[in-house]
Amino acid sequence: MKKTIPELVESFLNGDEKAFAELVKRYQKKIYSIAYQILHNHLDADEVVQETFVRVYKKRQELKYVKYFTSFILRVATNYAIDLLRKRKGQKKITSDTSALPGHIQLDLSQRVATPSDNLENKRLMGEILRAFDELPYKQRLTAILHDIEGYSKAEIAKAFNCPEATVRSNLHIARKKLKKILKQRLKQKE
Amino acid sequence: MTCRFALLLLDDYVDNELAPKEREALEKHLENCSSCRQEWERTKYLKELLKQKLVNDPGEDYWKEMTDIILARTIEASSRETVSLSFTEKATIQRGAFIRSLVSAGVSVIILVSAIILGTAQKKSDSTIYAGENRLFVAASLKPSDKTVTTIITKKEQINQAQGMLLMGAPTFIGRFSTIFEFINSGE
Repeated sequence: MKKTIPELVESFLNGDEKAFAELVKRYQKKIYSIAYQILHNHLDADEVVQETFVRVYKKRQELKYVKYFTSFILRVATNYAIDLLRKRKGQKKITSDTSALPGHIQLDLSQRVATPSDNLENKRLMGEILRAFDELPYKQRLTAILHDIEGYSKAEIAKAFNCPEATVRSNLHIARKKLKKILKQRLKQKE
Repeated sequence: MTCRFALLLLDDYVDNELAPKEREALEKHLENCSSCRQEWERTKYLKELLKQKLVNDPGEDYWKEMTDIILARTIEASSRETVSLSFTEKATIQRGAFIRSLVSAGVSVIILVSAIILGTAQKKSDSTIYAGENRLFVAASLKPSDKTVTTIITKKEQINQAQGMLLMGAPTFIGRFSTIFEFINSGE
């Protein structure tokens, strides 16, 4: 039978390295996706995934006091991603293109582009929205990414950021308002 | 319900998080207010749009490799944790080394002082060893050129001298034999 997350965390704390490997398998895709949406490139997202798990491993003594592993790992990942984003902004190396992706992924993307026009239009619109995400303050951006894109609940996000749910609601509301403004402009142009 | 209040509830409505009563009131408002309905449509559309992730899955091979890399890095981190000592452990080790150094310095001083005392307390006469009628060497001779020396040390004295040399260590030992060279140079 498949172990639950709290069971895996418990086993890991008791020295079971296989439990840690299982946690890596269950969370790595989620962390990659979040990191990619914050940093917009594969190499940085890759770094965030690796560093997040290494940090969780090093902080394993803290896990004894952690009630929700998901919120804990989200906090570690988003903190590292934001640090990296700040660093990259300092280096002015932020790219949202696919040049940093390995060959097979680029091929995959080119295949994906060859989709019906409405899908392509949606992707363009989505691209604009993601660029608009970059204009948002970090907390609003992360809240929108975690809630609307990754599907985490407001309670999980509140625990990850160590803030009240009302703050998450408010951040989400402001973020959506800004994004809807862009959407509104785009839809008007279309008409 | 006012439009302002309705717009505040829209997010929770789209997220299916409204209480039944508020939900009912908002739905009634949306039926009658076209601008709020439009805003609701936009919120819904945005939410749908964001569900389509632009992030591509790099593939199963990538994830397998990623898991291996992470596990290798954690093993490395864990071995570093074992080797690296905490501040308290380092302090204990350094304190131990300091105490050991003090003890050895103290012992050296004691040996030096004993050597000086033993050296000065020794009988200031020449000790000459003979093999038959031939003089072999002079130990602790204050006057190596003095040809009137005739004293022969007993076996017991020789043993005492040897014990003294062992106790006093190398510097005194060498010092005691330095006169041999003078004896050789004197041509005897």
